[in-house]
Amino acid sequence: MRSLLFAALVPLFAAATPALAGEITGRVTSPKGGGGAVVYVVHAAGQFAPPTKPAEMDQRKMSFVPYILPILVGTTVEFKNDDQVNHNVFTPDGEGYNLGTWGPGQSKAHLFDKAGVYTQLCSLHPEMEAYIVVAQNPYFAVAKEDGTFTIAGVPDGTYQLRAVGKGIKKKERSKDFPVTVAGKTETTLAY
Amino acid sequence: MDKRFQRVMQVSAVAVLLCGGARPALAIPAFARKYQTSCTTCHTAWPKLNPFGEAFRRNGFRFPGDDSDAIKQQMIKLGADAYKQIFPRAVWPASLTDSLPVAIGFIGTATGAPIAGSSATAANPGIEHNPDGSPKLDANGNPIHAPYFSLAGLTTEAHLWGGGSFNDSLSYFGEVTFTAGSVNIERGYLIFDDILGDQVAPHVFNLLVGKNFATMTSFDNHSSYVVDGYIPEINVAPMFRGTGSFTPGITELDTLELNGTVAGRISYSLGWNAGTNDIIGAGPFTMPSSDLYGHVGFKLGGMRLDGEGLGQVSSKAWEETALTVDAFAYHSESYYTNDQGAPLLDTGFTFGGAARAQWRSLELDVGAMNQSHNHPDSTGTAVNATTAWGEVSYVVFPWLIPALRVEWTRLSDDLQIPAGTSLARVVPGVNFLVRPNIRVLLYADVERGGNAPPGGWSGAGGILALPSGTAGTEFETVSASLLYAY
Repeated sequence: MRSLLFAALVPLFAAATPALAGEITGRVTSPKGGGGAVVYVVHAAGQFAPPTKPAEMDQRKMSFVPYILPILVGTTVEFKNDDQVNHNVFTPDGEGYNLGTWGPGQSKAHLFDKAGVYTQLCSLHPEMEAYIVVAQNPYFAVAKEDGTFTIAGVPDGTYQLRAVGKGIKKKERSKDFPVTVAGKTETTLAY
Repeated sequence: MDKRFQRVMQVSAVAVLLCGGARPALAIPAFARKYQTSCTTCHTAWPKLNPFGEAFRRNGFRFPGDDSDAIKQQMIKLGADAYKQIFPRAVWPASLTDSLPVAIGFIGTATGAPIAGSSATAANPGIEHNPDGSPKLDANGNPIHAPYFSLAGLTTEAHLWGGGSFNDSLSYFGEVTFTAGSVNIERGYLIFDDILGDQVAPHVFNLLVGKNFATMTSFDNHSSYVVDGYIPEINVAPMFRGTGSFTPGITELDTLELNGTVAGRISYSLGWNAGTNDIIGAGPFTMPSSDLYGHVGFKLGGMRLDGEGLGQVSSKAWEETALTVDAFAYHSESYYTNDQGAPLLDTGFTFGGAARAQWRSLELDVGAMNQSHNHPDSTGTAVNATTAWGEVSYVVFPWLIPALRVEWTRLSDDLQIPAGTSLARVVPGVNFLVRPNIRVLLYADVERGGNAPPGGWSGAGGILALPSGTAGTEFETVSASLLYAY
């Protein structure tokens, strides 16, 4: 049975991941640092199945947690409320949405079916802000505190990299950093 | 100058001060720092509170649930929590924010009187003068008054606010106001929250100790978009040339007040003040005074009065659909001097009711009260004042809030004033929230009155000063208030 399953999975894996899978390592730098930034490949060839398990974004102590959440297009995000006050979630980005307002211990889910960067806001607490980066492909990573990152399993080829982070201004989010992957590749995203 | 002219000047100056100059506020950026949240979490156009802000205030400046869970500012412990377990062998622990929980703000009003000859222009700078400094007179010998607009007053007050909580059951608030030549402690009090324990009866029994305004309704006393007081400031004493300053709901008192919310839908307060008041006469004397007051309110719909639970589900912080009804009473005893300069006890009793109906972004406030005093002035005449008010407002955008307020007062007494002595004030205004902590209010004051009390209408916030026995309507002032805090 196990060998049958393996036999069935191999072609699937091979279809999604070309034989020559590389790795992008690098660092995000900006005057305010690159720690916590999400680095993602803007476009990669192929179809990528989203995870069946929803991703989570919490509202806790009047903050969105995490501050930036990278997901693959087609992923559902469950927005939780772990505070003792009501919260709301809306975005002015893309097609725009307002998920309404809900109370302590409750949650709401939203399917992100278009790639893009979506600012998450709470209309009841204007200081709250977070980002969901909806990527077209699964090649993304969250930079460590020192700004370094590793994106594994990237097929060899030429791509554009972008980043979203606290130290990166909105107008800089569309800045592309070309990278050619051939095995292990190093790059720097300097803002 | 004739007597009427002198009186008009005095009344106008006081009224302008009352209408626009004095706008103490409850907004306090110290809370914004403590919880690292925006002013608009609790306010619409500050100091006006939204439903959550009102709940935060009623809870003794604590968030729903465990307040400490919502605090983001670094706290300095004045004792570990475990010391609670060994009380009374240790002092009950508390904590302080790591920076001084103080905010500063500036408030003022620039006023103009656009209509020549109105009562408002009878005060400087509306008075026209000859080169020798004497007032210009018309053919009938009356002073000539011209329209004016003056920026003087745009920054009249500086405020220092402090507020926070020492732990989940003890909070504090203070407000000191600085004006030219005076410093006034408007508030300074502690609130012992949930004195029977937050498990037994959360939010039901809170004890306020210190200087504060009497809690007369379910809402903060600055809960108006265009004037200072939610309940109109009707001070009968100066209208009858008395020397007292008692105004229910506005005069700050050193008080003991029990207040709270029951089942999230009923609010109440019961307060007592045993103080003194200084009087000038053959003395001066310092005489005992006392106040006893209370209110009960009920809220139907919308967010609970204590903010717990889901309640409000709107995506707009100011919105809810709710009806809140309040009844209040206030009994006071204080001394004035009679014509011979001897102390005269004035017993005052005020009762009334108020209601707030809110449908989404539209809010309507109405209320009425009756105030009676047996000796509010030097003649010992009994006085009765009946007041009704209404205010409608609509939050067009969170930064643009127009409002219209009407206040009407009718006075009667035993001796001095004719029947039908009344004043109606219509105050339209527009609020602009330039930033969450910067507010601009443009408003006008239109007044209609019949007769006038001997001390003029300043005690009712009015400027109108018509000759005795006449009635009329005047467009008095246009004003611009600037309020900012940080």
